[in-house]
Amino acid sequence: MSTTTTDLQDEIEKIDGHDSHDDHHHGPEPGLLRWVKTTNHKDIGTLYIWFAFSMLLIGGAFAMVIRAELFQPGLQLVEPQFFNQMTTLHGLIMVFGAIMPAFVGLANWQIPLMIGAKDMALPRMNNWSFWILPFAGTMLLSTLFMQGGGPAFGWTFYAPLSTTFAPESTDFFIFAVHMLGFSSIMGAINVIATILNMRAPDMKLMDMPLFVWTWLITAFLLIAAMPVLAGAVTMMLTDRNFGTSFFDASGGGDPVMFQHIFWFFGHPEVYIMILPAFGIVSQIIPTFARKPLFGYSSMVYATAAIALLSFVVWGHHMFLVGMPIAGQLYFMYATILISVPTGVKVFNWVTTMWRGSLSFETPMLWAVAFVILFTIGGLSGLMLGIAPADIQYHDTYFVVAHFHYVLVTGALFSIIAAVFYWLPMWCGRMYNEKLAVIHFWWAIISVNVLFFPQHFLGLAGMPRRIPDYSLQFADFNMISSIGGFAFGLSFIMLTYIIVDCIRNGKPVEGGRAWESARGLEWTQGEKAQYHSFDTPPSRATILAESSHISHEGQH
Amino acid sequence: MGKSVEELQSMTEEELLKHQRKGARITALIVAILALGVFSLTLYMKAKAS
Repeated sequence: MSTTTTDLQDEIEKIDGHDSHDDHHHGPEPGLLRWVKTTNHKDIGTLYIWFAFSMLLIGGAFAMVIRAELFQPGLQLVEPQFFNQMTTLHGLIMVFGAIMPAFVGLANWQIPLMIGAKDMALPRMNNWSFWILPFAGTMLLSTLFMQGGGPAFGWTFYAPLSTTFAPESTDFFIFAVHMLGFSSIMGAINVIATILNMRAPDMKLMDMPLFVWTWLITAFLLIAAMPVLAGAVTMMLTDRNFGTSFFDASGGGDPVMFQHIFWFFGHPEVYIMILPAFGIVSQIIPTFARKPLFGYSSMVYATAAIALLSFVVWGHHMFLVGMPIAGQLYFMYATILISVPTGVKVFNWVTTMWRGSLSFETPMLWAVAFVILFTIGGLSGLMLGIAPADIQYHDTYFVVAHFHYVLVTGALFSIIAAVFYWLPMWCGRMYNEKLAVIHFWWAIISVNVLFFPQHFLGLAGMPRRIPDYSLQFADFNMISSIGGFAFGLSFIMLTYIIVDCIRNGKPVEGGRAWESARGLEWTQGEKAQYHSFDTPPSRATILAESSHISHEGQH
Repeated sequence: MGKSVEELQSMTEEELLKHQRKGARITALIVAILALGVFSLTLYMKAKAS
């Protein structure tokens, strides 16, 4: 270890007021304690991603229970109360336990590498942000075993279902949501502080890769939205236990106000789960189109526009609650306005591919699937945003189909794309491409068999969150359930491909896994080292590695 | 805070890290206060409306 690095370490200790020799002087600490004590952004990123994957499997198991019950009309396997617990916990686990932590994990791994930083700005807070999650997740899941069962009021936990008429376990649910929110806010603070302060001195904001930009904007969304959720559950807590009546009409409160507060958080939350996905796809498509990203600056401004608009459209979730016609018109037009910046993005991805030297390795397959299927989800969202049409669609399976196209074939697919794209850099090994392609087609077919028929069910009037249904919905429900089981099974194959890559994958040779990949993260050699960027990258390196500047003539 | 690229480039590795972390702490504090502000505002507005 050089003298300079030793001095640097002493400096870090002076600032931090602790001995962090183990993390900074050497490689990772041996044994399990490494994962408990680590402040290394790559370790914490790995922890986040494995935690998210575990939660995805648990939330997926709940989805299997739901689809098994809905395989045929009539009550087949579970009691209605338990069915409601499954729908509630499936939503909560997938949103707060799987999708959000997976994106934070990707942010932890990638942001410091992409901006030429040594680590996240606040490494110990980073460790704390992660380690809150397993406890919060366990507390949320433990409600299933409590007297009266777990929360059964849907992931939106509308009052008074979640206050006056909720089981006792709801207080544990509230505590779990508080902890999950606290973790998210700390993660967002860290992302903002890292991007704004830890960039290589020569990297300007408009030099940053799109993934970093989308995460910076997402982090601000988190800071503005998560405290609102915290406020809502705090008021629920005091309504339930301390005699207040924020949402109790008999005490002068207003249950509809709960829905306004919830969706003021809830709609930006949707964009918290999709903006980083936009960033991932914007990294992958230029690599496999062998062209710079089309319209980089418009992508940045479109992301910011989507984020701002996300705070002024919450009422479209509540058209049927009772709203003045002017309010309905406002929320309808504001909602439809979001399609403009979103359309800019889709146009830019397609234009990046246009006349590119395209190749379809697994990450690109997932990215292209994202563009197509997310657009379908976006279009059904436009339909739902039209106030008079929403009278027909509201609370039907059409809504279920819509948000699963956005969150499964949108957010989740982008996460899978990111894992296949960066896994060779993370572990220095290449996955089995043949198996990965088979897995892709298996997943893509099954996910459409699962969710596409739900559009028809919704249009025909089948309500969501019910364990039983009329006979006319039987065929499409059976098809949907078969798709669901097949899609669920595809995750066993995904697990095998990833574990096989980490343990037995062919070592990546020649510097970077994808010959046309650009970005500072690819300058680390075949495999990302435990510590990166002892010396910040130069301006020349930053420009040479940009995925949005043309490098024509360089190769 | 507010140093030019040239000044940052002329810093040693440890000076740069110290400078970056100082900025990061101030940024984190401001953002945390913002988050606390949003939380307080949510409770205040709802309490006022009730």
